[in-house]
Amino acid sequence: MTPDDATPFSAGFLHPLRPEMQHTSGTMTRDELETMVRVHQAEVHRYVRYLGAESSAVAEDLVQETFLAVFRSPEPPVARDERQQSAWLRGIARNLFLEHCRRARTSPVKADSASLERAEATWSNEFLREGDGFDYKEALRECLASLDGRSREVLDLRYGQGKSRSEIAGLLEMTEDGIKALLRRLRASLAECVRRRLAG
Amino acid sequence: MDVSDERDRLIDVLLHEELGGEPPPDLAERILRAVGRPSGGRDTPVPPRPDRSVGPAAPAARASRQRWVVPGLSAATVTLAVLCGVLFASRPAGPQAGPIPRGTSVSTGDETWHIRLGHRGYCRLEVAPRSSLRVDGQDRAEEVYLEQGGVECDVDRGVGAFAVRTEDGVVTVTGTRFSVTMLDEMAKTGEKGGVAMAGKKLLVKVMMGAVLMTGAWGTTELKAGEEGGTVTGILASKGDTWIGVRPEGKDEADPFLPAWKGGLPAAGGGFDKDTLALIKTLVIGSKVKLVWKTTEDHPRIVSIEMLSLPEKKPEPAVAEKPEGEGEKVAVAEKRHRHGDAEAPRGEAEKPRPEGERVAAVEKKALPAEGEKVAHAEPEKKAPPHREADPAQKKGTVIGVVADKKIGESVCWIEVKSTDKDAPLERYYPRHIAGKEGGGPDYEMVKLFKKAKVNDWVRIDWVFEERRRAIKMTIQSQ
Repeated sequence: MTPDDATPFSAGFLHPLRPEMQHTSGTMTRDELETMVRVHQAEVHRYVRYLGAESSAVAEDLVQETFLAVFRSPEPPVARDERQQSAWLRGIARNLFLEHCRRARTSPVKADSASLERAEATWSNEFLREGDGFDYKEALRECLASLDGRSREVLDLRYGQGKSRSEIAGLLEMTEDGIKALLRRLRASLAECVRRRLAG
Repeated sequence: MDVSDERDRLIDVLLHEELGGEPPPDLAERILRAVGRPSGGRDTPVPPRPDRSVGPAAPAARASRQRWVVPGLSAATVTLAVLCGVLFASRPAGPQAGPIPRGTSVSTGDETWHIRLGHRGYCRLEVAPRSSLRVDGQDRAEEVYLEQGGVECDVDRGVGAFAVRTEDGVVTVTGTRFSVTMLDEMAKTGEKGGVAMAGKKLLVKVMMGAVLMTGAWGTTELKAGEEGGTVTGILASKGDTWIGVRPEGKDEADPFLPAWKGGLPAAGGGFDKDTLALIKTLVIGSKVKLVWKTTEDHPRIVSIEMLSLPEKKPEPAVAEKPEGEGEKVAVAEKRHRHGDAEAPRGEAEKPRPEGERVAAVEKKALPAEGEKVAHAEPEKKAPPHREADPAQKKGTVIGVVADKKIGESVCWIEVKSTDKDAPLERYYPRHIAGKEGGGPDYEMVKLFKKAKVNDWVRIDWVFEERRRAIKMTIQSQ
């Protein structure tokens, strides 16, 4: 819906992607940048963590650099559609992440262009599914609710309480490798559960 | 990584958010600062100032502050509430002053002043125009006493402590970025950032890190995304689970809810029982001093101090009650004045003696409420609509869908009713309790998604912090 489609009910409506955002050349205004940041920063942050940013600090730096790159670009996005803007931002984030991995020799994450392209395909096709990932997260919540007690306990210890694998292993009287494998199996089963729910 | 690795990492990230309560941070202010202020800040280097140098800011000085916003694990991170709206409108001018000794008072006049305190200037203050403060404290425990106005603080981690004292309380920090504002009762609200209410005495907003707000009520921790402060005013209205306080100098009451205690409702979680019991004893029309903190976008009661009972004729709750409601105003007033028949154990309502300070209902940081909210998109560009009136508790609307927003952290539908004079109203799904905080009523969310703009809808709603749709029917156009 744009101001051109204004009806009496939409008086005063301001869409985040105003027509004046359609630049073919020149820089963005600060207001336009702020709008873009507020609309997309959560997804960009989640995306760089998904790519493999090894800490919150690195993720935040990458998010900032992504939007600064947008602001300084001589050709800001011309897309009206939020999804197209989002895809464009993810492309910048991927490039910055790749550069980060190459620069940070001690980074535990190894990445190359091909692997990042595959990551983008999974993100776009399986998570976003032409939306903003809401359906995926909704399905994940439903799948979490269907887990048995022990599985949920392990996930709560790891993600809810932030315990390390060794701590969880001690609590559950298992080996650390066993916990690692268990967590991976649980994530795989959740992924499959989500896939089935979204397909059904 | 192969596809299974990618799915694994996706689920891992989402689980951290869903179970770990780790919403993405709000980096907007940090990013906007990095691109420079509207008044033309440039990213030019500035020679370092000696400790305690005081003086109005030059343009380059503001740019140097941008360098102090070091990303990542080092010091400050972003974003301050600029409630008075003037902190970013400063103009540079004036001579530089030399170091200032402890005990010195500073009055800024019409300009913004920059002050660096402590070892290598680990505390950087931007003092708003028409502010006054006094420099106190000691080495590595710097402190200022803010008498009036506002100060924006940027404190390096791992160097020392810093505190802002005010008449109403103390804000202490060991490394974060926040703002403290002392407002006069008739001060105007600012537009930038979070909740801002006129008539507040002390207002603290934290965008990253955490601060401790301490006063006679105890200590409250404010974390990133939270605000807190004090307000003095008249208890204008109340319900079982909320109160409306009209700050001095304002015509409208601001709603406050009790804090959420415990976890899930199924596990015994709910509104703080002490506060609920306290609300029952309060007398409408009393003058109260309230300490509040915003959690998940709503001001919540930390403590209430009854300053004085109502005058001979307490203010009626008429203004807060909508016309046509089934509950008559006179009956409601009578109930409030003479006790609630539904009070536990049949106790009559007993107003507290004047000046009695209510024990703090919170002595530590409030736990996160069961309703998790991921990073919420500020609705800065939303069309105008009326804020829900807390006194109108339920109703039915028939109208046309004007707008809607369905997202992972924001979900509402806006309806223009058939009443031509009625403003746009926004409706949200209810929160359904469940494990790990529950979530929105997904059935209602599905209906919101199904409804299209210009569809006719009928919505039965109740007021629970906002108008919540409990039943919705979509009719053909």
